[in-house]
Amino acid sequence: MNETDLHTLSGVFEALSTVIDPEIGLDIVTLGLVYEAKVEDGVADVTFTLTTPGCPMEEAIRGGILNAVGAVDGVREVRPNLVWEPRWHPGMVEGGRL
Amino acid sequence: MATAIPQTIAAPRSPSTDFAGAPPAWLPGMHFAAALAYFACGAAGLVLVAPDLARGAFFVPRVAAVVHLFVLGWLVLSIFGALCQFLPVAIGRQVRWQALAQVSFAAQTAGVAAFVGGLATSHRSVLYLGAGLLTLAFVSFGANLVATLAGAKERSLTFWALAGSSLFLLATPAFGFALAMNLHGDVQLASRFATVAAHAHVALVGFVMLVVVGVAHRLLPMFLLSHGASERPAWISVALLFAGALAIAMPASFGIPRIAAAAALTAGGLVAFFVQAALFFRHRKRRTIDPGMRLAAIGIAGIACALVLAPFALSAGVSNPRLLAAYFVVLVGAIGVFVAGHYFKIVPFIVWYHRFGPLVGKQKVPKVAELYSESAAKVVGALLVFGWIGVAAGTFTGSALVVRAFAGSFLAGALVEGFLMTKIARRRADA
Repeated sequence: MNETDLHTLSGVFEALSTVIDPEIGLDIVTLGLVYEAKVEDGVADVTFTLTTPGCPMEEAIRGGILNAVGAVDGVREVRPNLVWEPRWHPGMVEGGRL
Repeated sequence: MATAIPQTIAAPRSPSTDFAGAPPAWLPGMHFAAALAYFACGAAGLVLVAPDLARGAFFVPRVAAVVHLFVLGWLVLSIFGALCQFLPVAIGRQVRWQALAQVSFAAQTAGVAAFVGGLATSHRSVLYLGAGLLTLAFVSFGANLVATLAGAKERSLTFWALAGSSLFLLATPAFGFALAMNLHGDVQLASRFATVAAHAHVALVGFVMLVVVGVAHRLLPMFLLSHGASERPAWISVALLFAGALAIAMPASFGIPRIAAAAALTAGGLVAFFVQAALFFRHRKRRTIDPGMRLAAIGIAGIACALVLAPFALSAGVSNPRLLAAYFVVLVGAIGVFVAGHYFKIVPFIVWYHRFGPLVGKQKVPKVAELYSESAAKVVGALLVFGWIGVAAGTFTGSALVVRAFAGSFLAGALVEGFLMTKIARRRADA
């Protein structure tokens, strides 16, 4: 990852912090739903999960990731990747903010 | 879940989000609008039939009309609408035929009006027209549900609960028809009571409660953010409720063993559901319980009260009509309050999903709970619960004045809930 990508990556995390789970009211970074984000040559890969399989917010959150990260300077492509392993649990939430 | 959202996008092109996994908002929306209207009509009907309830005149057609406004107009229409919205989440598939769901909706909505009108006015042809329309609605929705379930990839608890409920959805009108045909016939009161009891319990245990257990199994953990609870009680509940409803639906000629088996199985199924619900609430990670979930919890507690009353009320039968009427007020009211609580979760969610979901990541969006006033929701809950308990108490003690006064409270709750839901439905994103 070059220096530009590193700079872009911080912008990606900032953007992801604007994507909220509307039922819980916290953003997906604070909730621990973002497992990994990386940027290579302007391509942002975001690996994320949801609080429960079959969560009806899947499309809204995936769309939010596309919207937010897609608007970051230096990002030319966004690839959200939904995974179920490891399974999310409330202990992943930052600082017991539930 | 099928989705039209592209897996990757190229910036800075503005990504379009197409929420293909959910049905169009109008499909559940029209069900909920009609259900709320019938909820208010049923509550107004309670005020009117207060003297009948207070003397335990359970078989008076106008009392039956009010009961059916609640059960067919409020509960069943709400369930049909909620399932249209919920099936993609529960089993990963949208309702199989949306056009048929519209037919079911039209038949159910018109059927309730005709059926209740026919009962209240003793106009037999209108009553039969309503019964025919309701049968069409039940059969078409049941067929749609079965076809949707047939395409499910996973055989989850919710799948089995809904599959079982579809059987009893089809069985309920058969009992209703028998009653309608006998309404003006020469049928002894005792046997009519047995048919009424079987009809009501097949509908409420076999259809309504199986749906409640199946849906709650997905929604309660989701809404409460509950993790780590055992799910075994829910499986036991579905199995016992299904078997219990089958026993209820069997011919009366099986006698006492049938009644004993039906009672034991149904009671066991309900207790297992209470245990499951308690586990979900105990394992919740959200500290606060919002007004919708609180109302749902009160509804579940009310079902438990109905279970305690059931042996006394049903064994006394027509010899203690006020107790019998009070039992049905507690049971139907409890399920009604449970459903009323879920409106504060489902309606804001649908509005948020369609109006604000596509804006996530583009602009600041409200939380789902911010689409309505929490204090107003608490007022609705208080009016409904206060009214429901008061109507049950007034019925049991035989006071028409008490029944009417508390029915007024219940009516106010239903009207304010309808007003709040309309307000939520009108919420739009700022330009």
